[in-house]
Amino acid sequence: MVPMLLALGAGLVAGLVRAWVAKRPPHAPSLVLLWLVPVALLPQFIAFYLPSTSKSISQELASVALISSFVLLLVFAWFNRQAPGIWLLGIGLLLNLIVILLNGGLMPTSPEVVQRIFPFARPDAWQLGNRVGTTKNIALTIQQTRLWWLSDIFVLPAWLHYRVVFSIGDIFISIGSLLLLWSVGGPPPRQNRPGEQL
Amino acid sequence: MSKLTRDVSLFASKIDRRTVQLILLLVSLTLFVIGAGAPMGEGGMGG
Repeated sequence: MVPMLLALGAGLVAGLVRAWVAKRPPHAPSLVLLWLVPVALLPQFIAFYLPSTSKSISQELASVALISSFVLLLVFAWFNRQAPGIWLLGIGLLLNLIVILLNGGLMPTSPEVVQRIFPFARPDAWQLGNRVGTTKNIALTIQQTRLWWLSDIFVLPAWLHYRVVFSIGDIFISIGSLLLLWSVGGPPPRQNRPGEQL
Repeated sequence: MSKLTRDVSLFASKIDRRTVQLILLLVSLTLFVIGAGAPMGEGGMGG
């Protein structure tokens, strides 16, 4: 989570500094259906984050939770596509969804990556073709993975001392969030004056 | 009116619509990023 949240933090600071330099108040871009975001996260919260349910939920239900959540987030991105950066968020989300749909409903990642992320896990802690613990990931070899280059293939460098894996889609999402927050310091949207043609 | 209520009212009066919109944007974007792919914690994996 850290790399993407860092992008959020960097975007917010950049947007506020931009507003401060231009001597104008920061403003949030106008977004619709904001309520859809927490609603979309609810199935994931139950399937992956809530300790009491994330351990007992089946792989099939976890897939349904992840896919339905992504579809709702895509709807949100589509209705807000005019806002800066949202189209990149949508593309990242779509890339993640495509590789998830093509590989059994969870985000594939290779055994090598799983071993790098969980170096001290017991050998029986995860199995090829199954969900890795309570994560959104499924362990599949590169050969088994359709569009493997869209899966979770990147690992943060060791010198960061934070083992985390992410995908090309996640990179798009990070850049999109950065752009959206950068726009907070931009000129406010032009208001149509009375009599002006829409 | 208690001191706490007075302080809360004073704080609320200072928050304008623009600030509320900014906070809403931040919260929504954070939730979106978590939902759309952010891994969870140390050793986490994404979606």
